[in-house]
Amino acid sequence: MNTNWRTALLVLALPIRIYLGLVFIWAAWYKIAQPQEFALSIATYDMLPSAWVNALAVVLPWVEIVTGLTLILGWWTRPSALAISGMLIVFMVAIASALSRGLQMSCGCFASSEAGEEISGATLWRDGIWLAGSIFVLMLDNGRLGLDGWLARRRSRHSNSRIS
Amino acid sequence: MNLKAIAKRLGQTTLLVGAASALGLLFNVVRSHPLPLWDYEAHNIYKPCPERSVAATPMAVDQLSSDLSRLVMVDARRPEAFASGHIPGARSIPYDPLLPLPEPVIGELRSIEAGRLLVYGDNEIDSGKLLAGELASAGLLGVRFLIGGFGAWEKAGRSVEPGAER
Repeated sequence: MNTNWRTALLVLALPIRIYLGLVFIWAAWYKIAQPQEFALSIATYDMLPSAWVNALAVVLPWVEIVTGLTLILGWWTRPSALAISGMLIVFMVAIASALSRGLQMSCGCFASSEAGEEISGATLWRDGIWLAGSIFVLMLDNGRLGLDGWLARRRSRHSNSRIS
Repeated sequence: MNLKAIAKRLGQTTLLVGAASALGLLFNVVRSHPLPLWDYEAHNIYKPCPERSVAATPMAVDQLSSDLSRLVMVDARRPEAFASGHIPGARSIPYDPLLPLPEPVIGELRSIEAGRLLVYGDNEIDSGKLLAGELASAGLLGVRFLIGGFGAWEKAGRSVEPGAER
């Protein structure tokens, strides 16, 4: 891949990265504010043993918010994109499973089970598009337009000055 | 990307997820109303039933010809209503939405050729539409119901037969 292409893809990945980061921070917001509501949403999927539901409700929003932030900042960009891709795959499996069982329920993605959107094929498509975006970032964004790039340039300047 | 780089990325991802999880656990400890981490009590979830009602086809009285011999009419109203008057030749299968339809009745109706079954009910809750939906959900093909039920039939001045089912 020539340099122009690589730069163009890197520039394209930047808004995707920021968008995905914002989506995940937004998604985490209500879950952190209302953990009981989120636990109920997880339980409604009926995929996890009851004992694990609360632990996941406590931990998952923080994984979302931290990976969302690091993705926006471009720090550990690829690990963040990998974590987000993993989460999206898990979400898609859960939604597909609920749909296949005929459950009419809220997604629990951005709002409580009462106020949230009902899961449908469109929810799956939306997550699929986000997954494609996160894989794009994972494959093509090395974080040069972010903290990763800044830290790498700083390290290289340090080592150059030490050599000279 | 070589194996070493993949392993490094996976390691970083695990570290990131682990650190975020630790942050979540810590926040849960310091928040005013922490969520108990291990809750063995089942969550009180509302799990709606899967959609039961497969749509049956509506049919208006004026769409029916005067010759009803090809149709199998089913009256979904209560037996008293059936006894006071029904469509000639109709069979009474009183419908109660709270009770399951008896399997032998479904089995018998299943043997009727698709498109020949016409269900009608009363005007208020339209038991005909509900019964037709239930039969369609049970897998019967081409089930139809009369729009407006028996009231629409009477209003159209079509013939009515009195008497309970023989």
